Amino acid sequence: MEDTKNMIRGIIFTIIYIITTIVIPYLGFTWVKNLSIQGMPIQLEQVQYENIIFWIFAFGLIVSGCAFFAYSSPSQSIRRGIFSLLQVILNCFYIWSYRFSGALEVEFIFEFGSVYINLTQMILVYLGVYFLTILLKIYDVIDFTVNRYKIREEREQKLLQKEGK
Amino acid sequence: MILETIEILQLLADIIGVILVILQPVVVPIGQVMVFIVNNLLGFFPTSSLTFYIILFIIFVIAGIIANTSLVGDRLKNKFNKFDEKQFKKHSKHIPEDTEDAFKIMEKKKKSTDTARDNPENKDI
Repeated sequence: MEDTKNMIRGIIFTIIYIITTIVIPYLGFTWVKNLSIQGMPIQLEQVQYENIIFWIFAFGLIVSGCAFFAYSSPSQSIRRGIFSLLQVILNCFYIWSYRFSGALEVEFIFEFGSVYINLTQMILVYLGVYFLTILLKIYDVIDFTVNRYKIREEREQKLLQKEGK
Repeated sequence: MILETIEILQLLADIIGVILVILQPVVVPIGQVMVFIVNNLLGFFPTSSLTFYIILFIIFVIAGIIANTSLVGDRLKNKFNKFDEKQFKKHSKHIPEDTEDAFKIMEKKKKSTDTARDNPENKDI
């Protein structure tokens, strides 16, 4: 029963991650690629677009797979802690891959000129926040490892009490 | 333009802006260190095809299914790691009074399930 519940939770979170890290960015960039403002088309360069989509799919898949492992693990378990940590690290790669792929320095080409948008500074703030999250996750792993007997005891007592009733 | 017309969005944008400005001096240098690390590590990731990433995704999912169905986190239900009553009592500081009875009920249930599973008549079920 418990493992089925964990699996369902894992599947739900994998779907959420696939939607948020792959589907929405893919649709967003595809929409932006052929966007036109007041009749004037703005275009992303084809190579740039393909590069962005490649990295979105690549890291989106790894992050989603990792999310499945993390969320299908029992709560407060060491493996959940480790995979949550791994997931945050992979998220950093995912975020930075936007820069790597050129998505943060987008040039919109109009009929009479172009607009250049640079979002690198915003990503630096994001990565800084992610670094603090990594510290928290490391603390979680240490906590789950040090208190593993206590956590197991509480979990088993709950189970025994439930079975006893 | 949308931000200028809807006041709540404008207010929200201002608040986020203030938070970012306050956090920036602390967080941006950390972000730069992260960028250095991530930039170096990204060199190891293949850029030719998605096959590597698809295989990695499948490995994570299969490993997750195997690990989390066989090790559900409760030793009572563990397939590989048998429940050790002595170990449980050794690390359990506050065992409630009804735990002993509950444990016996649990063991009985487990035994009856194991017997039913091992019965050759039930193999076809």
